[in-house]
Amino acid sequence: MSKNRLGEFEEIVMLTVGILHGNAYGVTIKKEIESRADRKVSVGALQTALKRLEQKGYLKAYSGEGTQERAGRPKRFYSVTASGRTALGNSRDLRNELWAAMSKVILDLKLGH
Amino acid sequence: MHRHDPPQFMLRFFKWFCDPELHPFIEGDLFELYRERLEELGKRRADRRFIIDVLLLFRPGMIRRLQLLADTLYHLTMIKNHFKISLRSLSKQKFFTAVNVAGMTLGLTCFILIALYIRYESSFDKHYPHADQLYRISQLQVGNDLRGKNRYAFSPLTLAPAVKETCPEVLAATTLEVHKALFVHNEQGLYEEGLYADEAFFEVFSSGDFDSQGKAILQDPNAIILTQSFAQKYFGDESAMGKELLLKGEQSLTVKGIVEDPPKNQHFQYDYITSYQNLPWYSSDIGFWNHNNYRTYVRLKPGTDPSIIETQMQQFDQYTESAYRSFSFKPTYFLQSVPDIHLHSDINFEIAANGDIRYLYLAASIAFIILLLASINYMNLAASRSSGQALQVGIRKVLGARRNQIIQQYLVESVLISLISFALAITLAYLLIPVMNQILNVEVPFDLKQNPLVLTGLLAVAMVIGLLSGLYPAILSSASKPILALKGKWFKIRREGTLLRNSLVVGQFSAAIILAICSVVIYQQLNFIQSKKIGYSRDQVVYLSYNQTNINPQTPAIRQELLRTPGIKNVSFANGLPLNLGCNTIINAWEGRTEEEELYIYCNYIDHNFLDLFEIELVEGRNFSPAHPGDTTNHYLLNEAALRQLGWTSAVGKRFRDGTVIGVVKDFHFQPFDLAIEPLFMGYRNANRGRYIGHITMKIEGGQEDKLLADVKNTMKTFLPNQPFDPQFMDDSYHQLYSAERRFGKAFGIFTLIALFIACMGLFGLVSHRLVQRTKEIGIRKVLGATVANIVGMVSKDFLQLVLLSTLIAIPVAWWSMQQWLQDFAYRTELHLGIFLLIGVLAIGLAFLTVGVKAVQAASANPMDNLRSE
Repeated sequence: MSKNRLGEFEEIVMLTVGILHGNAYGVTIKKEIESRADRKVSVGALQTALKRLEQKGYLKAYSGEGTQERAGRPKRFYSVTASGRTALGNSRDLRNELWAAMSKVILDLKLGH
Repeated sequence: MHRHDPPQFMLRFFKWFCDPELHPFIEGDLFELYRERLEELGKRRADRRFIIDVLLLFRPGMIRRLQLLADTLYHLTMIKNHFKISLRSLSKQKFFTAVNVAGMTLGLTCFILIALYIRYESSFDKHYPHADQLYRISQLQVGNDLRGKNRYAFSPLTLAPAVKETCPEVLAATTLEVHKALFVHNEQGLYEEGLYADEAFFEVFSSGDFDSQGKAILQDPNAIILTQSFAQKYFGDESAMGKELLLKGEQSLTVKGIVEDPPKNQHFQYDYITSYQNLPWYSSDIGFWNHNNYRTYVRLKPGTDPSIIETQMQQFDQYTESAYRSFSFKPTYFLQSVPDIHLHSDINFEIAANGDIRYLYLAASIAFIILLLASINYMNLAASRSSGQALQVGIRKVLGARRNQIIQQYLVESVLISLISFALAITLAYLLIPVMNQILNVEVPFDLKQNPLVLTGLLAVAMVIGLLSGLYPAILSSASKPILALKGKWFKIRREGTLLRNSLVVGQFSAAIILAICSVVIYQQLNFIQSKKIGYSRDQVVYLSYNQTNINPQTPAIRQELLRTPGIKNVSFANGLPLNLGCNTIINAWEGRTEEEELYIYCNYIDHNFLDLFEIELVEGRNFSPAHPGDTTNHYLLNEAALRQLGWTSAVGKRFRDGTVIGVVKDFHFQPFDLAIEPLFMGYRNANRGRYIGHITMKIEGGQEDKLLADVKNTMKTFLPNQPFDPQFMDDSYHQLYSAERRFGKAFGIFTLIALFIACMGLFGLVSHRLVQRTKEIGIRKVLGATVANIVGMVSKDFLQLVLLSTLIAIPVAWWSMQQWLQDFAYRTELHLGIFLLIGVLAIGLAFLTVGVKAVQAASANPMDNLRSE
């Protein structure tokens, strides 16, 4: 289980790839994250994460056409795989469980004082 | 467009490090971002952001993984392919491969042998860990020349203690001498060489654990230390410790220690070590600064400058001043580094014959010449063969081979040849090293297994030779234009290639001819020495040496008994023999001498039969005779050289030394030929003159020498029962004098033959190749009516011109170098131009034969076959 755990940035990248659905490649993913999360994402960090996720089998890559503004270089599109979806689900479940547990603890602490 | 591109160097940097699988995609992203930023932010900031992006991409996940390994694997595959192709082409052209491998193997074998020899010769005395602290103290006696040298390797007994006391930098000083003494064991006498030293020997030449024990043993004159092989020889497998040996048949020495044999590469050798007090002349030398019968060695503090000691030794003038009062010269002492002695010291009275650094340089240059010849051979053959491979290279290029890949292909092939040759050469060297040791009279070990460094070095040389030899044909053929190569126009455009190839053949033959001329001249000089009139007869003269025992009292009886033996015609007793007379002195008394004049003269003490036995001619006066009793004390014979030196025209009756001159003999050679005949006087041998130095010489009849020597042995047994019997023929000993030169000549001759062989082999290969190329041409010529002779002439002409040119180059070089070599001899053969021309003609003949064999073969082939070829 621990092996398949997603890091925070990884999770954001996976979710963004999911949101972009079919138009997820380096530049769009970067822009999407930057606009939604209001944080700077370097190409290096993003590409490292993409590569890692692809190696884990959570993302699948296929190459697309090159365009004028890319100097003819092809795009590398990403999509979330089935196991990627499971991993995302696991991640959300864990979060939910933690949230559920947390309210109790806060309550207990308040009673104690 | 260019204005809108991101910085090129960053792109290149990115391409260099990025995982090639991802590179195009990420680069695309970068471009896309750059374009956007270019519009939003302007070029400068877009550039900056771009640079930051790329730098941030430089992280483990993005960097190409183990790309180096992949490259290596790729190269390995290529090299594997090169190997495959090389092996195929080598096995396809068996003849060329054989010629190449044979030439290279010969060259490398010579190189390995010579390298081992040089390594051995330069390893002398370096086995002591403190070798750089060891020095020998030798003497310079200005004004006292012996055989043209005024430096002497000996010193007096008094020197070592004085040096130890005077010079604080001297850690230890020892007096020693290597001396042959008679040992009697089981009633059998043998002369054995040993080391006679004082107890400090083990401090100077420290050998570890044994030092303190050895020191104690050397303090006892009745003790002896044996080497393992000596103990084995005398006592077999029994323990030698505590056993006794009889020195000179009278003094009993107890074996108190056994040491390892001294290494062969040490400048003094011994079978045993005993106290220097056992030297026969020890007691008469104590305290005398002018009794130079010993050698002094010192061990200095590490890092001491030897000149400091030399300066300090000037204080010894106070002792030598009085000791040398009656001499015309005074000695000064100087230091010689022990590891340098073997190769660099050439002074009088060395312990043993040393090596000569000049011969080492010569050997090294021969090794390189032969290696060069083999290498040129390869280059030539490969280059001429490469024209046949033009098509192959052309197709390779068309299929996309890069130039360095084609070069690689050639290099792999040449390195492969040199490695095969190296393996063969090592085997050959292993088999031949005993032969070399015998010819050069050395004991070079074949110890490559124990010295991986040397082996690696030799291997490296082989590899480098392979690479260098391969480089020329590689560059030559890889430079071709594929279209020309495919059209077969290769050869026509390679004019300069032919020129270079021809110069290589010329170089090769010049070197071989130079060596050939040199070896013929060396042979001539040796022949000259052996056949030159030496002024006396050495035929059928046998001598016995007695340098230990006083035979004087018995001489009349021995003579009488020996003369009774059938076959012995004459018997004479003499101190020195006319081989390498060492007795010399300075005389300052003769008739008509002016003040301060001195005569430096050699001396010999003989009897009245000496002149008859050696057939030495008298030019004036008379020989010694028993009828004149005065002869035995103060009458002298001089040689003509002495007369010339004294300026006398007639000598008989003149006052000389402590007596008068009674006769003058014709000059004869009493020393080797590198020295001129110098003044000599001969006195009558008597009890006071050289008591322990003596030779019995016998003139015998030819035939039955064995029987005669057996008789002599029996006779001598009755007079000197314990003396070993070791008869020598004058003639053999005479030749022995020139053994170094003869060994040198022989080795030189062998190397010359190898060089000639390699050169011819190269020529042979070249001709064969040229003929293959001209197969069709020869066929057509024959069809059109050319005779075999026409064709042979046509083919040979080119090559013979080259050999002729080589001869013209070689003759002056050889002339000059042989002039230099002959300078060392006082008597030398003439250099005739005829010999040089003869060698040149022979070389051309040899080349013609080499070329001709192949040419005749090609010319006599059926022209139909020729025309059908391809």
